[in-house]
Amino acid sequence: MRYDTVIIGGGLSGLICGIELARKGKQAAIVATGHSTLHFSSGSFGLLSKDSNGNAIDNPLEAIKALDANHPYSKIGADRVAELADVATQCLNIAEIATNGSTDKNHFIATPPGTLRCCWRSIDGMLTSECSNSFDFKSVALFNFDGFIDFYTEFIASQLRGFSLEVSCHSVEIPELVVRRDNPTEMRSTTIARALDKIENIEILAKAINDKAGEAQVVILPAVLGLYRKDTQALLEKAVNRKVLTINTVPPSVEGIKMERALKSVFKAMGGTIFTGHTVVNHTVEDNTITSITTSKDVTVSAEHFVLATGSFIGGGLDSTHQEGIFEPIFGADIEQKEEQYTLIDIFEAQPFMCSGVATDNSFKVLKNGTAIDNLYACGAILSGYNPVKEGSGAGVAMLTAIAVAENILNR
Amino acid sequence: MKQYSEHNFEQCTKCTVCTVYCPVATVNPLYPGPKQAGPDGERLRRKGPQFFDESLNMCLNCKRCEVACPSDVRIGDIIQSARIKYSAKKPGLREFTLANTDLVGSMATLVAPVVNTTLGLKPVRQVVESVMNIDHRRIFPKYSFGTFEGWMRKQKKAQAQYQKQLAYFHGCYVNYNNPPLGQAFVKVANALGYGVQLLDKEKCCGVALISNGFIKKATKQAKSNIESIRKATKQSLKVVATSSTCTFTLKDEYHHLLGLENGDIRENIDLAVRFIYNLLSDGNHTLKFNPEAPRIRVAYHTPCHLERLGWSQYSIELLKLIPSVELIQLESQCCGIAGTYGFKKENYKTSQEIGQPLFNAIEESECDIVATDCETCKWQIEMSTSKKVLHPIEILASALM
Repeated sequence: MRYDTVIIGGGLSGLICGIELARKGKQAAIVATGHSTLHFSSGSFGLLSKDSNGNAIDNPLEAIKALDANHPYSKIGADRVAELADVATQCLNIAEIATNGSTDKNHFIATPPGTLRCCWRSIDGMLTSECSNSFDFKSVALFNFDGFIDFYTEFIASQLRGFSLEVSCHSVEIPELVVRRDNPTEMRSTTIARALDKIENIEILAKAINDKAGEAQVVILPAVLGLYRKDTQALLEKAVNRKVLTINTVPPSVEGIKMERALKSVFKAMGGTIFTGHTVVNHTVEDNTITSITTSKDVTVSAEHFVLATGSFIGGGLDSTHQEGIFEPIFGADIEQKEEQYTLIDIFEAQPFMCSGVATDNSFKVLKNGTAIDNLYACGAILSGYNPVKEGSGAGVAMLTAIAVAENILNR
Repeated sequence: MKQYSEHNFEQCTKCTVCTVYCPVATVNPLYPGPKQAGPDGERLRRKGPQFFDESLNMCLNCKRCEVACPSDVRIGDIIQSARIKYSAKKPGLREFTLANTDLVGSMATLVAPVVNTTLGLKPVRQVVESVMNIDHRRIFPKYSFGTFEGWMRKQKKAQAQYQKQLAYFHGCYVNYNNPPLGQAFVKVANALGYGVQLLDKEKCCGVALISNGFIKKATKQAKSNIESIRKATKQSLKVVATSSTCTFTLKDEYHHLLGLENGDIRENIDLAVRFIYNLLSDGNHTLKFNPEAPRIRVAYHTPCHLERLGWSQYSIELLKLIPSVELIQLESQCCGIAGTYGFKKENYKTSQEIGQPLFNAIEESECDIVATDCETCKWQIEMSTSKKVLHPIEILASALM
């Protein structure tokens, strides 16, 4: 089979790259091993959230100007980040993923344990704040579902009280879910989300809130309000006559799953093809150009351009052994590792291995033995030169480099 | 992907992605889900058989967990292997009847009109339910009066005329229920310059024997099929099957579940749509389409085992090549039948609930015809929607000059 571009990797970066190419009329295919790390999404997107001292960044566009030349944003060009960030937002809008935030001012989102973390955009309807230590309301009623162990109500409550909020904690029983508790390890966010796709369960939840929430101004729920329905939050707000907001749970992330589905469906609607369950096991090269890849399912796909968006260690894009150190398993691309030492003893330190990744030139062409492969680009978490965890920049780099790569391909 | 341990279950990173995509766990709260039933449970079962849970029999072996897994854990295989090794449930008359497609088929085709009429009667289905525990609402596939193999015997001379030859693994369904699909395949193969012959000896692939617990018999049939395919392979005959589940069983389940060595023949087994698409892409083969063929709106449904094979795109691309077809791609999801699973009374509700979103999507698509590569998906969709279901090869054959 033949396409204009084949993207290896079906996560945030691969999907955004695919959508950008498909909406400009290119035949694009995505080849992915399984489902992506969007299943661990926090529901927010970081462009650049923390400085080297760990302090929250107010204006990411300003801070980006000071980054190393090797940082992916510097390769894009600090002056182009705002423009590409707008394109990324457009992609989310096309996929009907409603988000809030602005590119020149970060805001804060509540994390699963209830702390506030700096971010660029966040999914509409989640608990967020303009500042790091307060909210513009006074009292909240925090609800969990009986038997759901991936949402830490009391933990969150004590954090929120630290922000001078009045917090009451409650639990709701959805009768349909009682039997699910026989397998507590499988009582997951998605289990509840499926139940809440049914109107009768939304009504049960609304009634429980009305019975228990008292005078609280805002109701907070785990982010499990349905996998398919889009109107759950609006229906609830109407029924309980106040604002209803969510805090993300421990994975699987319902918001991330919805995001993956929305992005995939837009990509397909634009004529894109997705091969799921395919790991790339082989490829052919002619004159420093990749001509085709072959997958674990014995499918050979050829294309003019290839994009490597396989993620970092958790996504399988990077791997390591004691003997070989860090390596990129598909093409054996050059790896950039700044420091000699991969890890530091203190687990909360910025771990050096997090900055390692595939070496590219400034147009994100992948380097092998020091030479850029002419039609192979890399984007997203596989790139070197930045630490997504320490900087809070994972989603931003994933989306912006994907768009930059799509542009570089389109401009050829 | 690299294997980090000799035990595949240790590749699991506990990410829970599989549980999101399990069709059974979605509708049946009593099923522990693929992660618990598969890699998590396997760790315990290594200690002793007392950790085996009969709820694993609720797994319909669709393998969608394996397709979803980012870490290459063979979750479905782990669950099925545990069932084979530990399940204390012994198969009964119902399992025998459902699993022995060859035996039942060869008897039924002799008296097809009688069997079809009788099984169509409601009172008979009520009796079948009370005696066999097969749900009375389930509609049986009709048997053909005369087998595909019988028809092929009469074609032997004509097929031998072609210089290029292939061996067709027709499967029980084509042989006993739907010879026209086999005939359509022969027509397309001939149009591409290939004569079609049968394997020396074709036995049922055994998928229903495996899922119903007849492992000894399944192994015996598998060995016989491997031998026949090996013989064809030595004669440089490509072995091509129209059924996605037969193909999957021959290629993967023989090795993964029955522990048989089929590595030498695995690559020589191909799925009809893939074989034909690849021929058409090589630049030396073309098909002549009938310009008068009526335009039809076709909705393509991806069977689970084809999803696992990773080859649904071949069906989709092949259908796109037919000028008279307007193609709609349905979201890939399980139809709920899973071979003989949905026939069993205790599974009927789960089966229909799993399929409901697909049935809705089919009705909403306003298609004329549904296309799919799997016979049991066809039974389920025809029973549960208003649409007729054809194999992509049948649609292709009818669009040819």
